[in-house]
Amino acid sequence: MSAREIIAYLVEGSIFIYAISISLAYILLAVFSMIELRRHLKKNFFIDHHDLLRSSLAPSVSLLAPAYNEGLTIIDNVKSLLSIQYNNFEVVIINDGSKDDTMAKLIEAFRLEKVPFHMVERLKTKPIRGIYRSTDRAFSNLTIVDKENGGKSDALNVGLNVSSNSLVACIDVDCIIESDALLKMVKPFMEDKENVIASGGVVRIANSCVIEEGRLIKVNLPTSQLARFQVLEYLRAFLLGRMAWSKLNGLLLISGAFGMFKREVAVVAGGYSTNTVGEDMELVVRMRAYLLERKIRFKIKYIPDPLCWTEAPSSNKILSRQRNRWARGTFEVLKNHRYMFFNPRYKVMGLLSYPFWFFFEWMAPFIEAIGVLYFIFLWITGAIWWTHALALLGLVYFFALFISTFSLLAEEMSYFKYTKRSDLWKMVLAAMFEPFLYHPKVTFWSLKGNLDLFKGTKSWGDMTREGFKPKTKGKFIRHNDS
Amino acid sequence: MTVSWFKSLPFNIQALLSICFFFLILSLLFILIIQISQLVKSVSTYFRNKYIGEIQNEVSLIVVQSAFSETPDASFQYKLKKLQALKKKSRYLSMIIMNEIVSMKKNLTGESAEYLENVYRQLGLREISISKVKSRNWKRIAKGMREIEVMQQTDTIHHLVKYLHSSNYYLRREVRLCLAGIAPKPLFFLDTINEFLSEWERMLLFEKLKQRPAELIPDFSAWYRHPNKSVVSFCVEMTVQFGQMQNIGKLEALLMEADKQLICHIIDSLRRMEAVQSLNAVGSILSKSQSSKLIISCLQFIRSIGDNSCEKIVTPFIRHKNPMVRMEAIRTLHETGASLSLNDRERRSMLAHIQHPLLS
Repeated sequence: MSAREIIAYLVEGSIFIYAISISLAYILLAVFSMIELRRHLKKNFFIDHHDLLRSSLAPSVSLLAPAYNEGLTIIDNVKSLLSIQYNNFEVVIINDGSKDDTMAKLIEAFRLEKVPFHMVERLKTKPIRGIYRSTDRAFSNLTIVDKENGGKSDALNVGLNVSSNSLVACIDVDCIIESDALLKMVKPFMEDKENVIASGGVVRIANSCVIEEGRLIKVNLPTSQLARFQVLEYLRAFLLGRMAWSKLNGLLLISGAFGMFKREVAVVAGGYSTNTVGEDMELVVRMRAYLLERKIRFKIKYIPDPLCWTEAPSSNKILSRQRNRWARGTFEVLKNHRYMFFNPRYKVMGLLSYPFWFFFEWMAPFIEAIGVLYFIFLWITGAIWWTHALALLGLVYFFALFISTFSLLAEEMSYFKYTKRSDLWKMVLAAMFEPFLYHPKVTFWSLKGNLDLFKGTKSWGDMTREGFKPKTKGKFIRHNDS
Repeated sequence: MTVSWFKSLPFNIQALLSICFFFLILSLLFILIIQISQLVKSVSTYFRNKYIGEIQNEVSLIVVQSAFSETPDASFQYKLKKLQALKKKSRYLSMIIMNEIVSMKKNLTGESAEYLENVYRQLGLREISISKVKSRNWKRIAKGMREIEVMQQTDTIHHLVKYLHSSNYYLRREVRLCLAGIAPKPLFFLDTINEFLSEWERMLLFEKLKQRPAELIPDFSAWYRHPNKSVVSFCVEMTVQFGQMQNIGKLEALLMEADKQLICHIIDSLRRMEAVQSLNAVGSILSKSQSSKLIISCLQFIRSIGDNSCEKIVTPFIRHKNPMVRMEAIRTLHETGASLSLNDRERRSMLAHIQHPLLS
């Protein structure tokens, strides 16, 4: 065998083995997820959450929401949070050194007064300029913290220091939270005999939905094709991925948009790291590591209910920044916790979750890129067996279609938020075109993210949001989607 | 021709194309299932929308007119015939009628509720609920139980009791909730329960008990010595929620025997019941305790009682290593009127926090 043949054999063999492994992994996760999803639906079939929303036995929760330059929408967002139906909760808004009029608007709208709040600084943060409470009794559960700019992680750590309840829910201030979201997120902590330290819910895409005064009135499929691809992506990730990891107790990521934690565990584990842009995943991994090292049993639960609606990037520019950040965040977390790699001390996380993320989440764009480059090389050298190549391409395509339609089935069998008949066909079309129109872009941005990390980029990038602005009189819908 | 073309391909290509075909068929199958599911949902929504107005109207009229009519029986029978005719049309309509009656019953009390129960019985829906309880499918059983519980069919309890020992956890939980809702002794099953009663279930049971008449609420002290700690914890909480002040002495006695977690809970309960007579017992626990959580519970108790006789016991805690304990101690001394001279900046800051009206 010549050197070239050996190299070809090694490259092709590695890619083939990788493809088989990742496919099997996705199939297993999808099957596990469906089983767990059905079990969850059965378990909750008879629970009427509305009967319990005002129960005095529900534990008190602190909602932590960092805000940076949210002047346009902050008042609506805060009012939306304050109107969540739950018996006992406080809302802590952390103004992370906004340069616009966020703070001024808050002070005026909620009649805030600076108070001599004694904060126990268990987590080191940037200096606090002031803590405010409302003189209006209607907003007695609102606390505003004004601090110097330090980033989202730093702001959340301030929230952890300030909050007074044993459960904290960390959210993005511009997300729309379902009215019974807190109760559903609290349920795993109350229901499980084992020590549940965190819970996460599904984040759904609110583009094109009808939103009035911070409340989701009607769910619509996004009109923008880019947003639809993201809907499909989120369905796959949440309904066919995280359910399985939750079942295996190997969940590494609770979405930063909406996650609930036991405050004490988050604090003793060190709070959010300010050295990474993947702070949400990093905290969960660190909390797990902390408890595993001390041989403390725990669980992290995931709830498939759609609890939080967020605006997805509607332009390639903004989406590229988001995916760039996600790629950097993933690698930062994997790098910081590389001691877990196949380490039995970390049980499912070390033996399954971490390797999965390393090989099939982080490495995937690289393997794909190598595959594409190798294909181009073979094409140039006239070494492609076209029948075989097209058959392989077809296999990859139909497998992707299979997983996407499986996620649509999971959605239909669970919460079926998209009820129009035409929505199904639009999503099927999205599934058919996604491998050509969307996936290559996402792969490229992931690769670029890793390159930027190598070059030393640490910023979040400007995530310009348009917000849920009024389009017609009396109706608030997301516009400029197309 | 296609088959011969396929057979002419090398074996590995055949394999790849077969797998492609397999995934394509599965994808199409999923899409078909989704379509069928959407169709079924549309049809059932259509059916429901077609008849729901009429059913709701008939049931409301039965309840309202029978309550206010001069000839209630005649009016009632007339309206009932219409509902019976609707029910006979199909099983699906029968199910809609059942759901409507059960849902309406949740919001009614008094005579109107009794009329609705009468409708439920006369339409033969009670037998349907009982047959559900006797079925094999656990969801059907649970649904039947709920219907029986909402419609307060207390004479059917014997059908439910056997599920207290079911191997299905959700069924066991459902039957406990139903029995809490209709049994003459709502919590009789606590005597024999040996599984963990989750906080979630405790909350559900509490919401059920809240709907029962006051005279049926049991004396929770009956379970203070239960071997199942979760039952004890539940009963301590219920003692507070239902204001069973006569059990304060028993709770105090329990303080001496309970584990750390339960002691905190009992002290919190005594605080909420404003059990002044337990001050000495709590003070004694405070002076011996090492646990920050327990110390804070004791300090909160002393603060709520408002007695400054414990000043000497409380004062050392303003120098405790745990800042939360220090804060609580300062708050307690301040609110019980004790004299405070704080030289330390941190403690002065704590006091400023405590004194501010927007932070208290």
